[in-house]
Formats: sequence, C-alpha cells, structure tokens
Amino acid sequence: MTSIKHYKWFWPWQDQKEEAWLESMSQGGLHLQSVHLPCAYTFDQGEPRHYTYRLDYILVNKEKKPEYLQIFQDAGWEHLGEMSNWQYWRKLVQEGEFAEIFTDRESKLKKYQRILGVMGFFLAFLVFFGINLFNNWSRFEDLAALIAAIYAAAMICYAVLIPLYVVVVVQLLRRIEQLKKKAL
Amino acid sequence: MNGQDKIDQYLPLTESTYYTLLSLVEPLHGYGIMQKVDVLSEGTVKIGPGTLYGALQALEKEGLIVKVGEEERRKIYELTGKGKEVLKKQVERLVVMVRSGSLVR
Repeated sequence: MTSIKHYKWFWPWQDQKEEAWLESMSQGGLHLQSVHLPCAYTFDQGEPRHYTYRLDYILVNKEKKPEYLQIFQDAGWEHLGEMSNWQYWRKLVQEGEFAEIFTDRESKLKKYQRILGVMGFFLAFLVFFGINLFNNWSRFEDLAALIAAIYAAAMICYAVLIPLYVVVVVQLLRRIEQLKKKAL
Repeated sequence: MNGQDKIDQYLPLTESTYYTLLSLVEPLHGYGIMQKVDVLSEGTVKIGPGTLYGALQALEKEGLIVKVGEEERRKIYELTGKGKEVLKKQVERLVVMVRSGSLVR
C-alpha cells in the first residue's frame, strides 16, 4: 500500500473543517494513517470509503488512557493516533448514517473549554514572560552584542506569538459562545 | 438543609447524565452503559463515547459513582449512595413535571 504525505494547517477552532477534509480524502480513496507534526498527515491509498472522522481534545494521563481508548473502540471507533492532546478517531458508516463522539451540547462545549484552558495558559505564560523581558530590555542593551541579539530575537518571537495566541483564544471563545446560545 | 443543597446542586441532570446514572444501579462498564442507556431511554437518547467518558470522569469525581472492578481495559462502575440520592431526587422532580404535563394533552 502506498503512503502519501499531505501538509495542511488547521487552527484549534477549525476541527470541524479538519474532520470534513479527512472525510473528503477518504471518499477519494486516501485514508488517514497517522499525523506526525501538527501539519503533516500520512495517508494510505486504497478504495474510496465512507468514513466519519472525529477529533477529540483531551488531557488524559497514562493511567486513564486505556479506559478512554477502550470506550471508543467498543463503540466501533478506530484510533488513528494523537497529536498534542488531539485524538484522531474514525468510524465506517453507511450512506446516510451518522456517527458522533459527542452526543450532547454540554460535552461538545467542554471539549472547546479544554482547548481554551490550555491555549489560555500558554497565552498567560507568554504575556508574563514577554512583559518581564520587555521591562528588562534596558539592561540587555548594554550586554555583548550576541546576548542582546538573542534577547531581541526572543522579543520578536513574543511579539509574533502573543497576537497569534490572542486570536486563538478569541476564536475559541466565539465557538464556545455559539454553542452556549440556546433559544430557551 | 446542607444535605439538600449538596444534592440539589446537581439538578436538573442532562438526559445523558440521568440515563448514565440510571444504568449504573447495577455494575456496568463503558460500552455496557451505552447500550443500556439506549434501552432504558427506549431509543430516545444515544450516548457517544466522548460524552460518556467525560460523564464518567465527572460523576466519579463528584462521588456519584465509584469504580467497583476492572475487566481487561474496561473499568466497571456502580452508583454510590450519594448517586442514588441524586437520581431519586431527579425522578421526583420529573414525576411532578409529567403530572402537571397532563395539562397539555
């Protein structure tokens, strides 16, 4: 069986887009085999098949992992691997049949809140150290050129990463608000 | 008064949580719970594995269910005394709802 690699980037709030993409790949005969980096997907080439792909985001320790996996597998889901807390699941479905790993709004919401929690933590971390670095900049300027350059590079990284994480957090909050919206 | 508050904070239960608790009046593991919920709810409620795993973790953390055994990689849970109390309270509320619901028939 031939293996084909694809590179594609999905933001944390674009999980449904990623699921739809994997499903369309399977309909074209390319079936996900594993995920290496957050953007590197390896596919097996085969017959077109109707798979439902679903992504879970979960922080589960080594102790609880077997139970977590078994519950999904007993329900007919196939595990394709994990990538930074994202679990890749798929299930073979008939035409018109629907398969979901989250069957109520509350648990779907909790998944996005988990992602938000982790992203929010990183953002707070970056902001804290970014401010620290910025405040101490005057001291670094006097140091050797190399050290000053390293700190300048660090500050540039923060200047890029902090807005990115802000965007991620905001988009996740929007997704959570969408889910929370009930007519009643 | 304090005891009541401890129970009331969990109500009303979502349908998924209600049926999960109900299916654990006898010891059962993950997939067994999924099947029992389908039967108990007469097909009206289906629980997905993601929803179920989250519910089991939360219910265990709150002391409403407890692990009573293990079968290969499957953990077996059962209702605790506290879990029974919560379930009974929820059923009481539902009975009142159904009774007053005769107004609409």
